[in-house]
Amino acid sequence: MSFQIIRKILSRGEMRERTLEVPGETLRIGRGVSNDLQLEDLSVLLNHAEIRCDEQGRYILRDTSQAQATYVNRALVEEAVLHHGDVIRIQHYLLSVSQPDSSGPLVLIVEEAPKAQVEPSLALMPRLQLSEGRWTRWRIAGVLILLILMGSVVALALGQREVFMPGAVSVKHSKFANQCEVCHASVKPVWKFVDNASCQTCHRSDILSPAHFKQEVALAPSPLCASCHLEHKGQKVLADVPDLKCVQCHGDLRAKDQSVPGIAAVHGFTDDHPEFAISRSRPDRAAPPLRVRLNDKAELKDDGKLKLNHALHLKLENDYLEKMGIKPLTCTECHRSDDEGRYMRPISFQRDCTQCHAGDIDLAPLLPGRSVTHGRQPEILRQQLDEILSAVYLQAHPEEAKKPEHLRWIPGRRLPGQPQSMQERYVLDGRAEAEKILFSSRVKKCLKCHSAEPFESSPIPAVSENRLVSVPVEAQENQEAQLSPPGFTQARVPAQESEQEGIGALEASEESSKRGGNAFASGASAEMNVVTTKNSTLDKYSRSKITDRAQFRIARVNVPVQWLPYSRFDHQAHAALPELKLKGKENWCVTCHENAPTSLKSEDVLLPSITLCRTCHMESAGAQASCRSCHDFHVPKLLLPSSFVPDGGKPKDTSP
Amino acid sequence: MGNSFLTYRSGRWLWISVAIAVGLVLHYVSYQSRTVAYGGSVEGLLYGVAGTGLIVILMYLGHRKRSYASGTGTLQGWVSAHVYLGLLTLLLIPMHAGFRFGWDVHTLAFVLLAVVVLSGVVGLFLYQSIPGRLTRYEAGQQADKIDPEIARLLSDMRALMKGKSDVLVQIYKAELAASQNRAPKGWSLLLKGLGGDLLSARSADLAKKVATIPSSDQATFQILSQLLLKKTQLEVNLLHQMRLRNALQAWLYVHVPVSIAMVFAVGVHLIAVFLY
Repeated sequence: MSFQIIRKILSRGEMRERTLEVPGETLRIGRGVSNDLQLEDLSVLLNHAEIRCDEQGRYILRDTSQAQATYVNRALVEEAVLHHGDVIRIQHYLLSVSQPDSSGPLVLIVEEAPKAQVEPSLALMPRLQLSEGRWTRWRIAGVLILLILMGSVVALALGQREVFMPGAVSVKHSKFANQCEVCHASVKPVWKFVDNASCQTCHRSDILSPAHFKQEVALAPSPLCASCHLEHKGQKVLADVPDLKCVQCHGDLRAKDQSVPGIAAVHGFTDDHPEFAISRSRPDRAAPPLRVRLNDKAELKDDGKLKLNHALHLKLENDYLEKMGIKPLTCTECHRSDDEGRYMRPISFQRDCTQCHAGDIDLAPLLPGRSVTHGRQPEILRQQLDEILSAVYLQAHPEEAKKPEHLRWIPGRRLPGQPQSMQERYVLDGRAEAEKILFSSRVKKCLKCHSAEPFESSPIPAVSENRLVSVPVEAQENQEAQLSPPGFTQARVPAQESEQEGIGALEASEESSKRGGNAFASGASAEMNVVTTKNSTLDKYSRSKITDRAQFRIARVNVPVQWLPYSRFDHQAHAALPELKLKGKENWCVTCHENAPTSLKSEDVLLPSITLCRTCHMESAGAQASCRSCHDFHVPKLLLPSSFVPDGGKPKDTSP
Repeated sequence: MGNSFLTYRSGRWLWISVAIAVGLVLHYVSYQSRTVAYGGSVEGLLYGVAGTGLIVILMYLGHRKRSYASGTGTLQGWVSAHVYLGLLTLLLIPMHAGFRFGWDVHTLAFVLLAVVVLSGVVGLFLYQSIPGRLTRYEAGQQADKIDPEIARLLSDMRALMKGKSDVLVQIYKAELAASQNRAPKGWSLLLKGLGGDLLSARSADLAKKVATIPSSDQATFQILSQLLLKKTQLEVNLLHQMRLRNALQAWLYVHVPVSIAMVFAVGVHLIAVFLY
């Protein structure tokens, strides 16, 4: 059983019929949209009536409104059995009942009853309807569209193209925000980024070419500028690239490119950023530096080759210091920041140590009261020794000074055809003795702070012809395994490699850092060759006669200028924190470099760990922890160590 | 609410919309954690396409829910879908924009969309609250039957005036003229209300005129007064009903025109973003 509803609707003066089939045994009638037959007039109740088919197949009408407003054949009913030809009236709707087929559906022809005629001028109801007003829905829509259209035209006419931009431009680009063509040289799909060429119109190409680590390992082509510097996307400063852009690759670099060495996945500083890593030189300097994380205690070591006891310096007795006329030592008495206050300058002996330590190295006990200058280049040092010894000799032998100039021996030069003079012999022997003292590990001259290391090189003999200066290699005491059989030594200070030698190399490394910020004091070496030989008649001009030799030099001072070369740091910014000074009292550096006061060996790496940094640098509640707060993307290529070039071996983890 | 379209088939469209919304939120959270969210990204474009499609569907629903003869789904189902999917756009479109807004045509399109949706919500509440009140007024007399009744009363008045004094005739003519010269006041009725107790005012007005009526016409005046008060009572009832009916319609004067303007603004938005 079912129902068929034929609805007659007067539409534009024409009566139309629409048919609706309603399956089931019940037909609900009312104004509510849940009804099978909806009578929209508000005078009809939400659920007004229903017709159901009983077990005998009769259709029964029931008024469910309880308002006594349902009529069948003009008689008010609450419930009635419907027959063919009946007319139901619900308010002004007339429902004509028919059932052409006794087993077929009940057909209801629905039409509205004719209303009583009212003189139009007297009709109040139409004048109270909204549709009678001036503002119809279509007119309102038209006005709104016109307003949008006019607003767009006016904005274009006034050159206010911002209203069409999908988001404001960054601050620096706002000057030409209304000149879209400056960046958008051509129409591109909305999902494409602006070409680099547009950026390079104004920005220098060397800046734009991102010499990033990934470029160093020859990964995929560099991303477009606009893919990281998102314009129109709410960034006020385009350089402030959001972390998400970094994490897009660093979240899983392996997934981006299988050729990437074992770089740890990073999603955020406080999430999974690996422990900081320093770079250690490998014995083979051609090999890339070894990246060692601060939590890798087995490998973590300062290879600076400069001996220093931090604990001793920080615990010097006050009365001792008062005698010296200096205040108690703090870290900043020796470690001085650069002009910007960001980094510590490399330690300079002359500047940072001579406040307490003598600036020159005395030659006692060989020549008490005489000293050589610290940090001189080897050749200069030898000349200085020769001059000192020559002066001492002439002081003791004034007759030599009275000789005519052409008969006098001048250090470093013997007159043609002349035998070795006493003065020359004295100077050469003395120089050898002096060098022996300087490089003595017992007397603690040079080796008090520096170390000696083996060195293979052709020596230049510098001893008297009659006697090879016997120099027991005291420097080898710690390195006997690397020495040839002990014998005699020769010391040599070759002028080689570069101008950055000796202690002065530290200054040179500072200059290097200024030029490019490289992490290492490149070329910092003070080389002293200590040659052992069994041959006592060494021809000073014949290097081939040196038979058995082991050579040493003062180890290259290799204190990193910037311990964490792939990040930026600003000491000055941290110095402003009151809690640091409060916690560190007089020496607030130790608040972060907390191991410094107890560090006995210079091999200790005294950098604070990432855990300490995270106590302040947090995502939301603390100091900034974005990638860019420490790292740069456009790293100048010069600064990148060769560690990022695959060397064929299994690479160590590298910090992001 | 038992048979309301809001709970159509145990809130089928409510749950469908909630499920879509949860899915969208989860996807957006993942999307936003991976990259910067904006309309031009792949995900942003997908949101935009989905949003545009939803707007088209919703506008079709607006047509379909008035199309009685269509056999696709029930009317209640269409209305239910229209409501819940419409609310969903308030989530989907900001996701498309990465929740960034500005003083531009793009945000204008969204603001217009928000106005459309919110006006729909207002209409929803009106449809929940007004019909009950309207029914109480209709118990007195149904609106469409009031005008014929008033016409009958005026006819009775005119019949009563035959052979009566000019004073009474003038009262009738004034009443007739007042009834004939009414200006449309649908909006003012809605916004300003009825303007006081009209029945009491009319009663007081008639009381003042009693003294001006000749004693011979006092009986007729009493009958006329009853007819006038009955007419006023019917008019007041009609005013109440029409005010409520207008309230049921008024939100559509925002919902429909603004939705059309919104579609236009979306067109401007698309032209602007695809131009560059």
